[in-house]
Amino acid sequence: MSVLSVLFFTFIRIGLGAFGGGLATIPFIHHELVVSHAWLTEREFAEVVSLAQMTPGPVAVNAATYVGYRLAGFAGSLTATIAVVAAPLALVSAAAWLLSGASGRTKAWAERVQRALRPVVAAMLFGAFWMVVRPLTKDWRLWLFTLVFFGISRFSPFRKYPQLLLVAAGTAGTILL
Amino acid sequence: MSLTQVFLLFLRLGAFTFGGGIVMMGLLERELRETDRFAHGEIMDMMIFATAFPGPIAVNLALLAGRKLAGKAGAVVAVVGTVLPPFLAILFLARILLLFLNAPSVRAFFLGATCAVAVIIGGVVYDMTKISFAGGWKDMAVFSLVSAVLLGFGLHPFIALGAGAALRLALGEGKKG
Repeated sequence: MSVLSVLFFTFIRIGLGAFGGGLATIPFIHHELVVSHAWLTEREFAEVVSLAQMTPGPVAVNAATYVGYRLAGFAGSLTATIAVVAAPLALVSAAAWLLSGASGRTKAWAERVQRALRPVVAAMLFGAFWMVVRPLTKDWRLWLFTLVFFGISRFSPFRKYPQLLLVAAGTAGTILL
Repeated sequence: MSLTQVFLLFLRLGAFTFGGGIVMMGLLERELRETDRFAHGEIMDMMIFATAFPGPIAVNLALLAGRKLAGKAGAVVAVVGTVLPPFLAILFLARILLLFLNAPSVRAFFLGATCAVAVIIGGVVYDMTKISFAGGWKDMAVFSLVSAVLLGFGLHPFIALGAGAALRLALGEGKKG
């Protein structure tokens, strides 16, 4: 198999296994890239994770672009990036399409499942939130920072454009931390 | 909404999803509420849908929201808009960023920005928890149990999701949710 097709199928699998959002997906991506394929060393993987946090976008997508480029240049980065989103997108659109056509009992059942998922998804998001917050709890200055930015976030223009909050907090970090 | 508007909206969101898909939920929620085209519960349901499926949450969410805003073409345009900024960032910035990965000012910037990320994600988690507790103590019990198992035992999110949803279904309907 060519490099591109290996990349394609590996990242299809990573896309399907990247579950739970954000940092929760890292162990799985690590397993695929470092353990089963040995495409990255431990150190390089740690670099990719830092890179993913410094660049926008989901970790899985960042890893796909990076590894694809390393193994097969621009074609590789494009292949891996498309592969990592392809399968989830197909599943989500198939499910959305099925649900929009559903009626009667199927629809009532789907709504029950969706309601049952609410507390579970809330818990998953809480877990993802905790992973972001945990490193912040070690330093009281970061507590203070978070509190201040929470206060600021209630006011416009930050309320309307939370992106500004990210930039402001980063800039304040460069100056103060 | 025109396709160009949808594309630019998701390009803007995609460029600022530092910290992964949940940050995008926070940003998207604000922006979608501004458009007045979604009921509050509807946005939450899309978020649940996006999280309950495998794959990057931001990308799944872009597909669903784009579809609601401008049909099938809207979905395509939204996904491309979301993935393009991370793709380009890794392709063109990775080499430069790797040089500065350990520079103190860069670390301080991202540490500061993480505080804002915590604020934004915290808002999403708060909203989601509030909505999901509509069914009373059963929802709270499932939320607590799933959170504890995810954080305490590092259970795979996929298993937590399935088991949590099954448990919530087994407990039966609470108050109208």
